Amino acid sequence: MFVYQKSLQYPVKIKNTNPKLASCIITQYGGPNGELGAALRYLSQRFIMPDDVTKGLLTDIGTEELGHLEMVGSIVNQLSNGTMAKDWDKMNSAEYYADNGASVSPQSAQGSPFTAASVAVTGDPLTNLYEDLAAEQKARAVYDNILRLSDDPDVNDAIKFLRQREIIHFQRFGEALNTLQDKLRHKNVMGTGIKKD
Amino acid sequence: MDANSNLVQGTNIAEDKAALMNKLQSYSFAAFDMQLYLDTHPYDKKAFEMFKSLVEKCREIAAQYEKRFGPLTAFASANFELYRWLEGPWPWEKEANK
Repeated sequence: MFVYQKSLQYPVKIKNTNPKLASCIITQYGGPNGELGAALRYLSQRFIMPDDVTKGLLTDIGTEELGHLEMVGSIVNQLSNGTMAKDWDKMNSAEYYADNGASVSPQSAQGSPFTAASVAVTGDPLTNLYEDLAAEQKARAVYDNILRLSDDPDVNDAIKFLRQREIIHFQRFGEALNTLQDKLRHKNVMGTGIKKD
Repeated sequence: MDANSNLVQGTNIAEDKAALMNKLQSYSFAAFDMQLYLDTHPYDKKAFEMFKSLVEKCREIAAQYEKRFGPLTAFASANFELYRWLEGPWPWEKEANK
């Protein structure tokens, strides 16, 4: 069961609106390496995990990703709240405004609606963990791109926090992968190879 | 105590756990449903009183459950000597839904 806590994980306090930047950062809301996909990836993969460490870790990181989704949504909202059509037009972001107005929509920066196509959920625990390690790196790289595009210190403060969390998750997933591999190796002590159904 | 009485006691513990969880689910659901009602009727005093007593009951049952069977939230594992958050079964498993 999920319970909502009425607080952001890290404060988002942005003084100036910037529609162009909003329509770029939206990609971490509903884009291919975004937080919605991350939450769905981990919360879906956890069902078949064989050990309590990965079940717990995927539950906890998947839940944190929902908190990050809320943070990214807050950034986009504060960057666009109160802006007019002409503000978007001036910044060459009329396309986002045409579909969504000044609001927060789960889509990529290029306008593709959210899709689970970038979320791999396989029945193989190790494959899932490799997917998760890659996903954290990809999300970190996108936050790096955003930091290159943004010169707003208020935005960058929150983005740097989110970027740092990707690195922590990568670290924890790496540890979980090692633990699980050790456990599986232990089971395979007779060297019989792949376990059949 | 012989092996047989151990078995009987073991069954009772599992039954207690399932019964307490069932009670927690029932009261939590009732409280949550009242929450939705209050979202659209925030000044309904009678509903708010009922919400208060349901939440109180939830807290009571959750405390009972956690004391006997371990933490329901990760932060609640701070109330134990060991970090028991990772103990299975997990809610999506059959073993947790008896």
